[in-house]
Amino acid sequence: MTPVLEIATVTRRFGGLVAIDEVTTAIAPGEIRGIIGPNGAGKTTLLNIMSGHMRPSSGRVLFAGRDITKARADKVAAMGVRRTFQNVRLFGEMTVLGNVLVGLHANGRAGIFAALLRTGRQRREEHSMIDTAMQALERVGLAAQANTIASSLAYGHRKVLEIARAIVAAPKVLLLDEPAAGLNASEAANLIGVIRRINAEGVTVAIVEHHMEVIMKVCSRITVLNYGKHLAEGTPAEVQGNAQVIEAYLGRGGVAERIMELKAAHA
Amino acid sequence: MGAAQLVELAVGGLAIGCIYSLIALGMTMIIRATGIVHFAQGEVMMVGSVLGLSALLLLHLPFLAVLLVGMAIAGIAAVAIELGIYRTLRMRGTPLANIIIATIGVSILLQNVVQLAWGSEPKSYPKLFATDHYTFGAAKLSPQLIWIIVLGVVVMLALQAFLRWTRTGIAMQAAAQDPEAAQLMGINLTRSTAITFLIGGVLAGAAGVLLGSMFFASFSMGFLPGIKAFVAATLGGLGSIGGAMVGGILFGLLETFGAVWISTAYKDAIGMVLLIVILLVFPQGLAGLVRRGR
Repeated sequence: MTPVLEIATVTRRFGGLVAIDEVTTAIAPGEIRGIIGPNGAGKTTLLNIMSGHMRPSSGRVLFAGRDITKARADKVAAMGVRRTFQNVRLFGEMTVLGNVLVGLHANGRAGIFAALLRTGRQRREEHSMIDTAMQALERVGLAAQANTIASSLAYGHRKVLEIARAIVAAPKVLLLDEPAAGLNASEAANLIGVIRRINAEGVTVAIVEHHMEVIMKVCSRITVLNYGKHLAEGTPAEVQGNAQVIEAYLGRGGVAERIMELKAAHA
Repeated sequence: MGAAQLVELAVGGLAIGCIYSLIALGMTMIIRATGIVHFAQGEVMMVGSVLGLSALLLLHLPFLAVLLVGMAIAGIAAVAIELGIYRTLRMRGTPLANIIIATIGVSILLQNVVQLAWGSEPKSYPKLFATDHYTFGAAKLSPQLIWIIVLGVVVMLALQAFLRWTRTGIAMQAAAQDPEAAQLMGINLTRSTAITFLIGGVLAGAAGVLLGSMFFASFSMGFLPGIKAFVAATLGGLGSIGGAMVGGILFGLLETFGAVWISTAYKDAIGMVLLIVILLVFPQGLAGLVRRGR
């Protein structure tokens, strides 16, 4: 099966710093892919490249077999790759519903003249867009706050509003940048449910996250980055047992080796 | 001062205020979307006024059609300036301050082009209304002023509805608040910015035809109203759409009553003193005061 998203020997430099170093990976349709690694490993940079927000210095990005390396971010979004941001980026002056409607923008057909002249088609389109937006809010449990100004929402609600805005246009791929950061235990549990439901509806998901419980619970496969390099990839169990991964997180000598010794002793 | 004179002055002030509001709205929308303080907005208005009058004289159109022609031409001119000049500068990574200086260049260029093509003589709009004035009690009100207020308010309400209820309007607001995030939601920024200039130009064009119908049209008519609209936008709170509307109307009233109570000779100076006072005392403008009060 053609991977829905493919990263082929992608490198991204910032001046002398190599943030992503010849990373190759392919995400299959229906997967929930975790992307983990210590701070500065290049996780967010990789997500930026996948969403068309940033161009790779070299290498290629393919979406359903199509080269999108040089595509503009709005084109990539219109093709069906949507994302959320690490530091929530909502349109603060708009209502919750307004924010979700922005997510639907690329799906609308009626042009500016139809909008100005208020044609029947335009009006029908607006009504169906509002219905779709409300459904997305219901899926993340925010329907009751539809008319609240986005900037006055609680932090946990702002995070799921970003998800509603990203899924409203029925994307093929949803990229989540640290969705669990700053959430309390019950909000994180709710988030896991939301991600699973979205995935069950046929959306392929990629998550950058530090919250290991969330990653291990929801991901079908995990990619580990370290200093911009592709370090390991596999199921949660495989990654947890990988000596290189443990070393990257805990450092060589001392703790890491003690864990490996203990594991060897148990085996 | 009698009550009749007070009403007449207030209507005059409201009418000129609506015109400032229309210009200030375009400036505000452009600032929100791009950060550019568009000093050529008064000249975009002038282009609408001058070419609207040309259409009126050549084609003998009715007033509403002239208004639409002026709006369309000013809108197209604004988009052409954005795509041809400002967008090119942005793509080259020119600093914002330099682009703002370029808008002053565009302002002078438009004045000179129109002066060459159209002549230096101010030309007056023909008489547009059959009646000389409506009478309300002792007050005599010019139909022109009433029409300016009505049309100005209609255009401004239409803009609000457009921004709040249409797909394109919502996309423009999103792009103004966080362009990068908006682009990642599938919004084409080039298109969204071009539409912002189109609407700003259309509003200025309406202002141009309305202002021209009050006095006359000439190549230099845009400069002072452009600066005054900037003062009005600052008074309302730079970057606030509601603020630009209220600021323009308030400024029109202040200027009109200031001219009567202080001196007509200082009419223009009053506005500029006001600008300096606003910037010193409450730089956030009326929108800032409302936000603080909340």
